[in-house]
Amino acid sequence: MSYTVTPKLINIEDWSEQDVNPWTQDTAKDKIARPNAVNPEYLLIYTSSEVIILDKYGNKVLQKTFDYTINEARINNNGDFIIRSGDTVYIYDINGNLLYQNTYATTINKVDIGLNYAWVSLLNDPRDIYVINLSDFSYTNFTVDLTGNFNYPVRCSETGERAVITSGDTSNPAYVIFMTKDGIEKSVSLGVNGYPTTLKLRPDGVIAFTDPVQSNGPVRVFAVRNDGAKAQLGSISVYKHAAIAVSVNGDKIAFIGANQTTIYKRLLDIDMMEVSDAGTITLPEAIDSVVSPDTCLDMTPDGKYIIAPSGSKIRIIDWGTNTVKKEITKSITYKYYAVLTVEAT
Amino acid sequence: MSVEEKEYEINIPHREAVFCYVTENTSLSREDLDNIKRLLGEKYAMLEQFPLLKVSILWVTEKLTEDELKQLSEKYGFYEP
Repeated sequence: MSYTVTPKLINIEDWSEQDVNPWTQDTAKDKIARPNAVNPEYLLIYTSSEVIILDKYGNKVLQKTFDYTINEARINNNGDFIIRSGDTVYIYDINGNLLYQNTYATTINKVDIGLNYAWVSLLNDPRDIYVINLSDFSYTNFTVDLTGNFNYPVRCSETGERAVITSGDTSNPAYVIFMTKDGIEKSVSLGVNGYPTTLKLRPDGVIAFTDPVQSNGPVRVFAVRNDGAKAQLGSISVYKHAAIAVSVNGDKIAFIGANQTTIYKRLLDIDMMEVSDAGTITLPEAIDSVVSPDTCLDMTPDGKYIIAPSGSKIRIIDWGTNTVKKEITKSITYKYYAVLTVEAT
Repeated sequence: MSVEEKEYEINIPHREAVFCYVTENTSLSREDLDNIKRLLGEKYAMLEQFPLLKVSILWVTEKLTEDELKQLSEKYGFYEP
């Protein structure tokens, strides 16, 4: 089967769209990763054996195949990327040159990469965390006690100086654990049981947004600060995850429950950790939550627009007026997508 | 990403990287890595490869025996720095 990958450049002045540098390939792409950055420069698209990197103008800057199985790939805003494959982590530069490789004693659970540090979480007990300095590939290591046996995400800030990991399950309290390269900075209990599935960070890594999921619902969405302050942003009566979109400043948050049609909007006062209701948006069809809680709802970095794929459309919706500014027709049912903003020149 | 609860075998505790051995071989294959892990068992902590520096570092939890080091030296060029 042949697939066409089509980067689209959308002009938010007149909402015109332009296909840029589309290509055809025989294999559907599995996942898309975007740097956790104020102004993301690259997208990384990967299958189990191939990585493609696009710049924000839709140019393909790297296409590389690998002779091992890719379990996960992440990219930083310099285009350096990290790959997890079983017990081994690989770090490459944007040209595809292998810079560093480490084979651990046990399977790796999750990885992430910032501008200065990469993070590796092993699947052992207690959980080993390795923080790799990208300037000289020295590392620091510490352990974190986590409850449950779940597939906890680890996410780092734009620089990689700080990261968070989550803990908890349906019979144990949910925690958000802030970390620096030297160890645990703060472990914050969310006060409810559940296994957090979605994890977003402000670029400087001070505030995390997450959703502990219980066996019988509801899903609560939290904002948690690295000094221990926390705020509940809302509660959704569903038994699955929530998708969370956050502006760069962390002051605008939109979230929606899996397979739901209502997007909840919240404003967050970061200093006071106070939440105010900014209304709701109703989609004509349920959100495409099957893709991933990481990517089924998105927002432009300035928080002006929400991007929601549902039914046969991807919609760009104005935060202030709830107006649908742009509808992009999807050619297949579930479509992987991510948004990069391009500065006007 | 699947959001269903998953069960994993988490039976390998933290292994402290205490001693290291080096080699200029930075193209160790998957088969080589599996052989090294099998040979060292619980002594194995991790193996870093730095292609640009043309050096690999094997980290272990306790000092290798003469026989273990001899095998690693003959097959992969490891030596005590």
